[in-house]
Amino acid sequence: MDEEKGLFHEYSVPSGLLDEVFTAQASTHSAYSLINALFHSLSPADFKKLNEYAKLSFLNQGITYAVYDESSNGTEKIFPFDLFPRVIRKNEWSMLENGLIQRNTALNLFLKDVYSDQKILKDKIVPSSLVYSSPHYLEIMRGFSPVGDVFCHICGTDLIRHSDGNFYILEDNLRCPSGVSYVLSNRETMKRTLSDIFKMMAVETVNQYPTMLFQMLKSVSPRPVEDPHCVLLTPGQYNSAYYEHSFLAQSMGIDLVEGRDLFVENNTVYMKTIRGAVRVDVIYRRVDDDFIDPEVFRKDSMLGVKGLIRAYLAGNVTLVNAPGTGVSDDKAICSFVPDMIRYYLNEEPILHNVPTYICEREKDLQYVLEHLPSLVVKPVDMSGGYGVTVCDRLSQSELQTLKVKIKSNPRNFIAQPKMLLSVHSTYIEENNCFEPRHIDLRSFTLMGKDYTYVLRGGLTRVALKRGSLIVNSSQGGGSKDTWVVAE
Amino acid sequence: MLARVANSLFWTGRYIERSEHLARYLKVQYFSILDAPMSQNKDFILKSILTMYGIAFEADEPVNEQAVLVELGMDSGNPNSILSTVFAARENARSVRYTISTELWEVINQYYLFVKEYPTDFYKTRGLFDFTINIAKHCAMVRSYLDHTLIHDDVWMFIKLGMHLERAVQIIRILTSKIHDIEVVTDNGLNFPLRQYQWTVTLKVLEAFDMHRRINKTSHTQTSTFRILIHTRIFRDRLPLIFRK
Repeated sequence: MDEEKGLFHEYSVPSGLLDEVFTAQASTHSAYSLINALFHSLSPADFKKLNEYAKLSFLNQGITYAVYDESSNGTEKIFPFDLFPRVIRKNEWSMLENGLIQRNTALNLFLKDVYSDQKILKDKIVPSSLVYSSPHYLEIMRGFSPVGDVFCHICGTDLIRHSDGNFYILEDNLRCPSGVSYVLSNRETMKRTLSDIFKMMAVETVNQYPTMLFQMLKSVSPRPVEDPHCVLLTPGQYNSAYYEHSFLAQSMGIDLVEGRDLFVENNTVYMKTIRGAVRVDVIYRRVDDDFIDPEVFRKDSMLGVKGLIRAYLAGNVTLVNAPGTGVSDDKAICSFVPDMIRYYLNEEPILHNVPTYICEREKDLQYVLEHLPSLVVKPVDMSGGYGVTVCDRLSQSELQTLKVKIKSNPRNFIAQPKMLLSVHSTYIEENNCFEPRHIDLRSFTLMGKDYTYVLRGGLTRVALKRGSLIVNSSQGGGSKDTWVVAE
Repeated sequence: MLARVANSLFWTGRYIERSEHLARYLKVQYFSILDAPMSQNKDFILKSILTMYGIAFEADEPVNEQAVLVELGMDSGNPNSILSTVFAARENARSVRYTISTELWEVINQYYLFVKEYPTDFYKTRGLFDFTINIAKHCAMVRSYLDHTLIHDDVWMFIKLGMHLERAVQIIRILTSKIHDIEVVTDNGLNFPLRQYQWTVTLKVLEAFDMHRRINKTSHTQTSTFRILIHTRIFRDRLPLIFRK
């Protein structure tokens, strides 16, 4: 029966929502009509075959993560991937690119300021209480200037498209943002599976990302040598992002090290090789601050390197990103980024924030408590979609519990109006047809010494559960290839 | 190269090599009992395979054939099974995949997926030949990509070192185990047809049967077996140095 009805038989554009494929508006790309024509010409059985082929491609490449619980016993899973690409017009992308550079430049200036003169706090643009109460603020960084004054070298900025058609900043990820390997492997799988679409349009390449990343790493070497020694520090092969660590190390041709492969002597970092100790200049670390040096942070950490922070503060090694950058991706501080842009750059922000209520402010707290059912509440320091509460789904008693929770620790929460993320046609395996699902976009910006690069594309994340607004992979989200295409 | 990486490359090589010997030994030994002359004791051979794998069993109790096959091939709880060995090879390779070629990594990964996904019910009834012969094919692919897609530098050498050392270990295990079997099943060599049959099995286990026949026709003795394994060029090159003296 499904055979006759086709892949779009149950598709209806939800009212009040923006469907990036089907809602006619200024940003709808003509590329969608080509893709639509192709998908409409495929039977559900044909498409299922393509989908299985794409899944097998991920499995054979080992792009998987292991699930360790009693029933699955180390079963390996692939992150769900959707074959309907998300298209962004090239001129719209240029605006995003400028906005991302502006935003991340301001964030770097903010970090430099916070860890030196603290002018922005003295001028009361950002409340100093928010900075000092952030668990990610590191006093040991006070007075230290990293190479090129760059603190966040790799920035993962999450954007959503609202029903008004505009992009808004959802959050900044300035610690160890992940996901870029999926941008590259999604593209690879797209090319292997649907090569014929690529012939019809000029899609911006994403392949040069590892080269750009390597250039950026070299630009922040503390030793002015021709060929600085860069490494990628991973927590190990049982980390859920290990595929990405290994992929990036291989793509850049640099060593993938674990904490146990490194040691510090005379405030200098070395790695243990078969031919003796070799000095390390730049460490792209995918280990959180808390675990990176048992001498300074968590004493029980097996993932870090003893003395690493000593070597870092002595200026003998660069850490990417710098320790203490988490203070500026605190969700309460995030809402001040437009003010930072005006303060440091004397410019108007190109990209707007989702309006944010900071529960620590008396006025905001009052508003939040009174309007709770229409808001989304988030803890300030968690990522991965954890702890996010969409309040219109709560019962009266649940609302009361949440109010008590917020009042007991207002600093820990922010609230935002429920943003209606745009939807996009997404293949739903169980029903063997396309349905609209909410999406967002994680972008990747690199900042080195006199060096800036924005990856043209990014990771479009999709909430696979019907009606869900949470796109994170840890919460059942999938992803799509993202195409920047000229009209 | 990182010292830890060298270690993992070495063990990748050892586990790949080991899995191939385990599968081949299982295949040849198992099929040899199906139509052996003078009703060779099946229970005895199954126990001999368990011994070669290093898996413990009750010496006085009869063993269940299908249970033994599953234990040897598919038991993820047993570190000496084929599945565990291939998994160990793949996990070592995964920890150093950034040093090897994508082509080599993908054939190792596909090898693991093949073993892991193999249907157990088919395997323990009629799939043993298909299972083991495909392991040989996967290993051949791994060897080919290893030699043809890597620079022959430290990375390649540590994998090869692991393979050669493991080969020496496995060939010695196989020979000592077969010599012991032959002594027992042939009444200290008095049962001539069975003894000759067992030397045939030994040659097949070491992939030397066809070449032995070309040189020695149908006469198989301990001397002719050792002569071809030690003195014939192709086999001599595959044997560890200590065997050549």
